[in-house]
This record gives sequence, C-alpha cells and structure tokens, in this order.
Amino acid sequence: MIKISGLTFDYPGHRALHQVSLQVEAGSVTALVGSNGAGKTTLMRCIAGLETPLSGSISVAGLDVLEQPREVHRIMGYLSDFYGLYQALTVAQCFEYAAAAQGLPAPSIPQAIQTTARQLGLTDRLQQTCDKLSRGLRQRVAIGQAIIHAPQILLLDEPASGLDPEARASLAGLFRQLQAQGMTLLVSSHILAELDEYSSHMLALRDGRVLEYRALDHGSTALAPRKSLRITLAQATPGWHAQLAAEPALQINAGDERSADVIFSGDEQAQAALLARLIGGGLAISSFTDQKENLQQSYLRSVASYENGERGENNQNTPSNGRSAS
Amino acid sequence: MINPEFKRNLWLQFSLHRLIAMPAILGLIFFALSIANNNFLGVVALDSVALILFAGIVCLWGTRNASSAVIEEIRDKTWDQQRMSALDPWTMTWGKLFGATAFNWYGGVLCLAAFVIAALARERSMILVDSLTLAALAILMHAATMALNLHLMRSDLRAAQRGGVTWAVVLLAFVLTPSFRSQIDSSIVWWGQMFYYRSFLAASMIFFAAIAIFAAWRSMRSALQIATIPWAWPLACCVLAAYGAGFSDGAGLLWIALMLALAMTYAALFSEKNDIAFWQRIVARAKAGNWHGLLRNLPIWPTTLALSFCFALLLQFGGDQALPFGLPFRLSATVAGISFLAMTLALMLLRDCCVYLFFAFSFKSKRVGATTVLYLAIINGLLPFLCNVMGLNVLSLLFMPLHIGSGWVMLSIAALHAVLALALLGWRWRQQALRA
Repeated sequence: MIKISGLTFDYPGHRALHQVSLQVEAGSVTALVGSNGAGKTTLMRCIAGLETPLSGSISVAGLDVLEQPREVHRIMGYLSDFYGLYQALTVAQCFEYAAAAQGLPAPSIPQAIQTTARQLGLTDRLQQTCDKLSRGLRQRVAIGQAIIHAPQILLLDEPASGLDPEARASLAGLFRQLQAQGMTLLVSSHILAELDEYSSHMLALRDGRVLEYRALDHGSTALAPRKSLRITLAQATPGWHAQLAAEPALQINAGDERSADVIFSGDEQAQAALLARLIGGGLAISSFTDQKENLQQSYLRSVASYENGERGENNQNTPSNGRSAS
Repeated sequence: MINPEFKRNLWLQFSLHRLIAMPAILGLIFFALSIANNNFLGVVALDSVALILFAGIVCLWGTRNASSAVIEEIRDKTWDQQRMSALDPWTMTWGKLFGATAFNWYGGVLCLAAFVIAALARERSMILVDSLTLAALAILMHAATMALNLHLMRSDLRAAQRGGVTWAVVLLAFVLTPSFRSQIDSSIVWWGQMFYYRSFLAASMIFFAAIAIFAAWRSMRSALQIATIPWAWPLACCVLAAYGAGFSDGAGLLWIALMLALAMTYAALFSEKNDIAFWQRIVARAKAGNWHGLLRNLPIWPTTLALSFCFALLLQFGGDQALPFGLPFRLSATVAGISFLAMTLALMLLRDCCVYLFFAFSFKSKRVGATTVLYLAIINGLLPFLCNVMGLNVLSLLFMPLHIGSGWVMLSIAALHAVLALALLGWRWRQQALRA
C-alpha cells in the first residue's frame, strides 16, 4: 500500500531520514515507534506529501506522492500531532467541510457526517462549536475530519495524546474497526502499551534509520516457530537447569533455582509433549506460561540490538513474519 | 457543489446579526447624509462618502481579511488540513479570496449602489468606469496580499505572520492613489495610442488585478505541493517592463526590463526559503540529471537573475538604448561607461545573491536578510566612504566600481567581486553540505 524507497530528508545541518526503504502492507496497522527526533513525524509528513525529500520515492496505492499529491490526498487521511480546528464552526460544519474538501460527492456527505459522528461518539455534539469542546472531544473531531472520506490510508501522529483512559480504549476500538474495514493505518505514539492493543506491525526508527520493521504476533501462537516460555517450579530445585538443557528444542535465556525463561522451538503439540516430559522427569512444575513479547519489549530489544551494532538483518525492506530472534 | 472553501468562509463571515447590521448601519449613514445635504450647505456629497466607505470596508478591512485567510490557517494550525485536502489550487484560491472578503463585498456592493444612485442624481460622468476601477483596486489589494502571504510562508519572515503584508499593501495603495487622482480628467499616450485617462486607469487596474489573482493561484499551487516550474515570475517581469515602457513609447524598454529584473530578484531573494537543505535538494536533482525536478524545486529569484544577464547582454551588444532615467553618479558623463553599466549591475546582483546565500547556508544564522543588508551596506557604502575620507580614492573604486569612468575597469572589478563571492559561497557549501 505504501512503498518507500531510499528516502532521505534533510533539515539544515541535520539528516532526519537516512535512506529509508520499506513497504507497508495493505490492511495493516503499523505502530511507528522511536524516541523524540527519530524521524517519525518527518516520515509521516513525507508520506502525506507535505514535505519534499532530498531524494527517494514514495508511492501510495500506486500513486507517486511527489508527482500526484492531490490524488493521494483523496485516498489518505492525516492527523498531525499539532492539529487545529475551526473554533467558530460546529462539529457538523467541520465534518461537512472536511468531507467536501476531500472530494466526497454532495449527496453522500450527510450520511458520512452521521456515520463518523457515531463512530466517534459525537452524535450529540454535532451542533456544538469546537471552541466549547474538551481536549478529548476536540481530538475526536480531528480524527473524524481525517476519516470522514473513508480513506484507504490513515496517518495518525500521536492520536491519543491528551485523551483519558476511557477515550484511549474507545480509540483503540475505533482503529480495530477501521482496520477491519480494510483501512491501512500508520500510527505514531510514545505510549507503546496503547499501540500494542491494535497494531499488527511495528516500524521502529532511530536517528532517521529503520531499526526494525516486522509483523507482531498478537494472534495464535500455534504456527510461531519460536516462542518465549517461563517455567516455574513449586519449590527451589538446584540443578534442574541441566534437565532443561537436555531438551534440544529449548534454549535457556535466564533463570534461577525456581524459574527459567526459555526459548522454545516447536508447535503446540511439541510444547505439550515437552511439558509431559518435564513433569515425568520429576519436576514439580507450578506454571508453564507463554511469555508474549509486548511492543515495549520488542522496541527496546530493537534499540539494544541497534546500539550493540547488530543492525544488519533488521534493516529490511519488507516486514519479517513472526518474531525475530532474540 | 459549491466550493467548500468558499462555503466555509461564508459560515465564518456571516451571521444573522451581521447580515442585518451592515445594510442597517450603511442605510442610516446615507439617510443621515441625504437629510444633511437637504438642510445644510457644504456637506460632503453622498457619492463621495459612498466611495470613502467602499475604500474603508472593502479596500482596508477586506485586505486585512484576505490576509487573515492564510495567516490564521497557519496560526490556528489548520493549514496542514487544508494542504491535505483534495481541493485544487484554483478552487482554494478563489474560495479564500472571495470567501474571506465576502462580508466586505456585501457592504461594498451596497456602497457602490449608493454611489451609482447619488452619482446619477448629480449627473456625474463615467460612473461605471469609476466603479469598475474601485472594484478592481480592491481585488488587486486582496489578491496581492494573499499572493504575498503565500509566497512569504516559505520564508522565515515573521513580519508576514504578524500581518505586515496587509499594512505594506494598504500603504502602497494609499501612497499611489493621489497621483492617479490628480490626472483624472486628462488623457494618456501609451505605446503611441491615446487613451482617456479614466478608461486607461480602469483597464490597468483590471489588468493588475488579474495578474495578482494569477500570482495568488501560482503561490497556492506551490503551497499545496503541486509541481510548479517557475516561468511566471520572469514572464511577469517582461510583461511589467512592456507595460512600463509603453509610457515612453517603448524607449528604454531594455533598461526598464533590466531594472525590474534586478528589483524582482532582490525582492524574491530576500523573501524565499534559501537554506542549505533546500539547495541540497536542488543540487541532488541536478546531479541525478533530473532537470524537471530541479526546475520544480527552484526558487523564483534565479529566473530573474538569469533574465538580468539576458537583458544586460542585449544592452551590451545589441542596442544603443539611452537610459530612461538619470544617474546619481559621475558615470552619466561617460558614454563608454554606460554601455558597460548593464553587465556591471548584473554582476553586482550575482555577487549580492552569493553573499545572501553565504549567510543563508550557515546553520546558526537566523536573520539572513538583515545580515546581508548590513554587509552589503559596508561593502558598497562604508568601506568606499572610509577610503575616500582617508584619501585612498583608487582603493574606494575597488569596493564600488560604479564610480569608475572606464567601462572595462568597472566591468572587471564587478566580475572580480562576483568571482570572489562565488568562491566564498563554494567554500561555505563544502563546509556545511551534508554528505549524500
């Protein structure tokens, strides 16, 4: 859906993006993560056609962003991190303007306003002017303006900043709903736990470079070739790690006399067989749990890997499937 | 479907209160004046008051609103949303131009109607032409303000964000207006043809209003990231030169064109984005042989700089055109010097552009325009003056070559200045440009 090739962007005296290349799959929700100044906003603005890069190309749904920015805007929604609203207009007028400005045909605009208001819980606020709205409601109006024309791609820069926990939860629900409708989302946020709820992919940036771009394994682990497990015993058992080490599909990462974090290679059947063998071997196992890596851990691992100079295989053009090796 | 931008502006501009208040207040003023005219002598004529009110409501207040149409979008952080819309530049331009000023035009049309009625009653001549002239002047002011704001948006000039453009346009209009009014009943010769002055003024105003709208549209194209090759700026220079030369029946056309090209280059240079990252983008396209991309990213000032050299070459080799203006320095006495003056001026312009870029390419420099002006004032004014008062007259000529009687020497020194400035710029580039 989004194809970026050799994208380099400079600010005076500072290279914000270094030869960024990647392909974002249609229908995915990509969490764009990175520290301040990593290049997240610049990347989004380049994809949105709001900035001209030094070199490189960006195409969205087959359209060249630099050549046909207005055509791209018809199929794209963008919420800037520093957005503004027309204070004197009502929510309905804001939505009507956004819909018409994005080229929605006049007869379908009233329906689009109602649908968007319903999606964002703004139906009873349609006649209220924006200057009377709370920060959270203003954020929802801004998101509504970005999605009212049902874009194929939605770029959101810090969409949840300033929202209360309840509003964040409903926003996550909205993003899942939009993804289910086939929309491709690229969402930047510093709150990784929140991104974790709805992201299917992670794009980590550091100093304007792609640290890692890969699919996240939120779904069934049945097909995952490698998974992280934590095995805990009912009581301390010295030397039990030797028993674990004897298992060829296990690799011990950390542990003590009562617990161990291991990487297991195998499917669900092999996992069940492993548990049976360990219990059969006399270990009093009190818990045997799948340790899913969350986005925060995944990102920090990417950063650690980058800082250790192990960037070779992570700088990839297309997302890898499943979890990359720890 | 109605232009969404125009409609949005109408929502903002009109309310029931405003809709009623404008005709009510204007009606009250005209009613009071007509009673005063009936009862007292020496009261200002109704048609004149209508014109003054038109100037206030449409030309002054309207220009401020036209300026706000762009500035407020940036200030309220809604500009990105507009740039992300699918509206084409023309729709956006006229939507803003006539939408942001719609309420002013509502009052303005009422004033013009009052003017026509009062003027007809007084059997005043050329009512329609005068109305057209005023309406065109208002559109010219609105469109010029919008074009300038859109253009300055690309630079870091904070004066533009504070509404400085509005005041500049209004000031210019009010400085120039009295000189037009003084010749109101005369005739004028333009390119050998005689025109009635008021008709010519109306036609000129409509012509300039059209140019201003065109400029606003071109600036909007750039603001909306639409690929725009900078041909309109040099074309405007040629058209304005042709218009200006018409008053002297074509005499001095090339000199007028050269002076306009010089002025337009300076104006654009000091008002455009020229940081090193921006120029690296252009150089990257040149290195890749992407000439179309290069032209699309090029600022407008190099086009009139190139045009200056074209006009200078034509003046140097092609013609013996007399200067259409007097010279403030001793060069006016030497015919040989005049034939080299054009190329010398073009080379000095090149030098000044290099000096500007030298400061613009620094990461630390924030007031590039002011710094450049300061250093150019030192080179062109302070240093030659210092040399003169110290009795080093020959040395002073090295700083300010225009005072030299010999054409070749004048040209050589200007060329030396340009080469030194280019070398300095090249050094700064090598120091500051980020490696690919």
